[in-house]
Amino acid sequence: MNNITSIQAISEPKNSLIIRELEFSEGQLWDLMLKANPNSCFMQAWTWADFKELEGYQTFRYGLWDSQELVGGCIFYFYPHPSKANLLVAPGGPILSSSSAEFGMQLLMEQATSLVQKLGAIALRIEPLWTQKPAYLQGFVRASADLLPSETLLIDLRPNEAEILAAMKPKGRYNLRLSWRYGVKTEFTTDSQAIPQFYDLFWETVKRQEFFGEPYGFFINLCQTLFSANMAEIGLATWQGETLAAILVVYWGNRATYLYGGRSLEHPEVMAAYALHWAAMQQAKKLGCTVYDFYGFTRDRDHSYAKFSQFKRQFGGIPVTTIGAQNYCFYDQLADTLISLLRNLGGDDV
Amino acid sequence: MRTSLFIERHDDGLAFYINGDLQFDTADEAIYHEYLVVPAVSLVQHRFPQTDLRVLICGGGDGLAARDVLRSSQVCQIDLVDYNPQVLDLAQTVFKPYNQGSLESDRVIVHTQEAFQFVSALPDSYYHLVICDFTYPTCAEDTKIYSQEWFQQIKRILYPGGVMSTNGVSPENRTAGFWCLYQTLLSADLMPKPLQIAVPSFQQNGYGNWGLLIASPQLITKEEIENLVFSEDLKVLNSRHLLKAFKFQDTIASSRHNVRINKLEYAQLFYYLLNPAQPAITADAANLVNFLEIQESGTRLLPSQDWLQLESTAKNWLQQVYSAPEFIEKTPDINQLLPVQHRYHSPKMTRQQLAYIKQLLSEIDFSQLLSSILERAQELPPQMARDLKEFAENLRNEKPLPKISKNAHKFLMMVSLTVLTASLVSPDAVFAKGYVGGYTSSGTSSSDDYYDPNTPMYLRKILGFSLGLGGIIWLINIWAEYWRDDE
Repeated sequence: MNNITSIQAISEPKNSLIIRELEFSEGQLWDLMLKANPNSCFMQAWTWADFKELEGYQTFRYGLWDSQELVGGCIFYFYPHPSKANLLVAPGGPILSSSSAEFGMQLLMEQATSLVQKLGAIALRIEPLWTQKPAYLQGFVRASADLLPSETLLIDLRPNEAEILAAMKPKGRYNLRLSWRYGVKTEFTTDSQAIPQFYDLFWETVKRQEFFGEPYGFFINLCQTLFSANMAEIGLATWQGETLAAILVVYWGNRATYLYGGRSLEHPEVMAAYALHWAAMQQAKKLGCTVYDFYGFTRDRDHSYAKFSQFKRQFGGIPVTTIGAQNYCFYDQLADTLISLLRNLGGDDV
Repeated sequence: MRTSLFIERHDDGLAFYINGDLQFDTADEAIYHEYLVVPAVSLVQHRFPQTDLRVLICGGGDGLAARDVLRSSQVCQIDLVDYNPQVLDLAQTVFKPYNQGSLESDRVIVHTQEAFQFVSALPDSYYHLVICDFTYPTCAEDTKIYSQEWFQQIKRILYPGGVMSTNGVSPENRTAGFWCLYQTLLSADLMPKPLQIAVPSFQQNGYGNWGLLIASPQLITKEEIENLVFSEDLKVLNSRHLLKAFKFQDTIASSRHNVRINKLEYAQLFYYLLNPAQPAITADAANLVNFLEIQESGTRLLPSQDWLQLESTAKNWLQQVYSAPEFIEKTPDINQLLPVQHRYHSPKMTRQQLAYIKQLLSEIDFSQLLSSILERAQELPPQMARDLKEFAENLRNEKPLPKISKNAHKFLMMVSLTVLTASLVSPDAVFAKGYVGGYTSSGTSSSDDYYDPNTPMYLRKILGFSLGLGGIIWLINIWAEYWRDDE
């Protein structure tokens, strides 16, 4: 229990708030609540959880209810493994309403405690899209790795086309117009047959940039699941019949997120990537989004994202930093794992 | 785990994926299926002349293996058992132009069932031929149908002179995994002959050359294979090509003597598939081993533990650090010191995680951890409990830690191992979109130190640093050697 007590100590229990596991039939209700939350994240979406199940994760979907109204909750993810050296994670979560955040968090922590004991894990990692760490997370420490980028660049899509164009950097505007002059064509699709086209360019980029890239199977699962829920599209930029850039955009609530992408080194002069992101913004706008999220950004010139960030910066936008992944260690669980190891293997050296 | 299916359409055909793994591409599937099926069918025809043959196909729900079995008019009955109704449905619709409607043949009976369960209920000596056309294992559970217990069941349902043919893995890219299958078959008294084939679509997907195994309770001789006669209408297979397929480079073949077999209890095969050791280049690559000229009984080396378990890795760490110098392996099996845990990960990705050990340890409040452990001190060996108590007191008093006891050192190692493993278990683990301190999944890093102003625990930070040096510096050094070798 350890730090749970510290959360309890600062909480003012709101008796009407309860927690319970969501039923399958409540998926739509969950998504509606999630989209309405200002800190909504696609990784907490019902369909995203379905995708992660296809990837072998177990999901635990809990709702916070206030007088029978769903006001928050969290989808926890757990990847089964025979050892207890494991994590319970909630990327994009938890989702809390401002009126009952502390007590909601307390209820979720009690649930998480029960889950880690049952499943065998040493810590909970949450990753809410909050810009400030609230006091009731005092038991959490900054995690070393973020599944979601903690710094990103957001483009406001509410202004009209001319205004968004005017807000771009001059070089970006120039390159975009260049791509138009060359006649780069763009299209967006939910046809799974575009997955290989996307993946070829993604993989080419992974190899070139020496990143670790997810395998083809990951994208098959991702696209097939999200496409069927109209939650994502592949965008392709072609010039003279050749596909030069490809992106995968996820639509969730008012936000369109550029999740993955890749481009060919062929014909850099036609600026296909500029045309593609601009078209993605227009497409997002058409679908009702008000924010285009470039999903990862840095102002640090020495950072390995610096080069990509330089490109993204050409579209204008506002950098936003969230609190990043936060870990809560269950010391009793960790102690349990260590005692088992030390007792069985450690011997007793004098 | 649920299964995902994907059909990639080409101008002149299609490619079929299960869980992201290519099953077949219509452009070249004949290579795989003819080698898997036709030699085995020809062999049973030769061994059982004038006999109505009964054949079992395990997996193969796409109907392509059945198509090639049906080429033989001597086959009177084919039982096909596949647990996936979606694949079976595709076989009768989308794949029908390619499997020639094989599953609709009146000689074929389809059983939608799990193969192990189906085979366990069959009588002894029932089939002349068993063909295992399973998908590539994606989890430990999937390797049950490549276990000694599975092959023993296959031997039981075969006639003594019967034949089995099974899909394997790549001898080139998953060398230990391939020989694990070979040794497992030997341990089940099915005498296998390995084959390797080049399937262009497999190679384009990075799978390398592909391996198959043909086996029988009765030795398969070179003469039998040489005397097989194939029909003219085959697309790729002929006698000359088949004889060549049994020859392996010595560098690949020689590693078969060191692998353990796959049992239900310990998924040794899955460990080998995740942690492929590259065969050492010890001989002239042009030297070939012809398995038609080899008759061997196999190593029958049993797996002693599950190498993906935390306890197994811990044992290896302790052995590596504390064994007497003469017993310390100069070139330890690097995979066993920090095994790859998921099929999306590569050894390089796993090793990369070592770069973040300092940050991982910095997340731990050691005072609190030791307090939790010492509350249960009676469960620890007495000296261990005393040493950890002293260690906790030194930390509490912020005393310098110039020298720590061996037990405290073991504790630090086990903490390091546990947090490292926890950070590597899930498939997403190595694809993080940012690491504190400027790291990214590209593997590059800045020199920034992790510092969270909200948790300014000087002690934790110092201790984390000490751990990096004291706890696993030996492991980092070993990896540094490998990195140098890689470069």
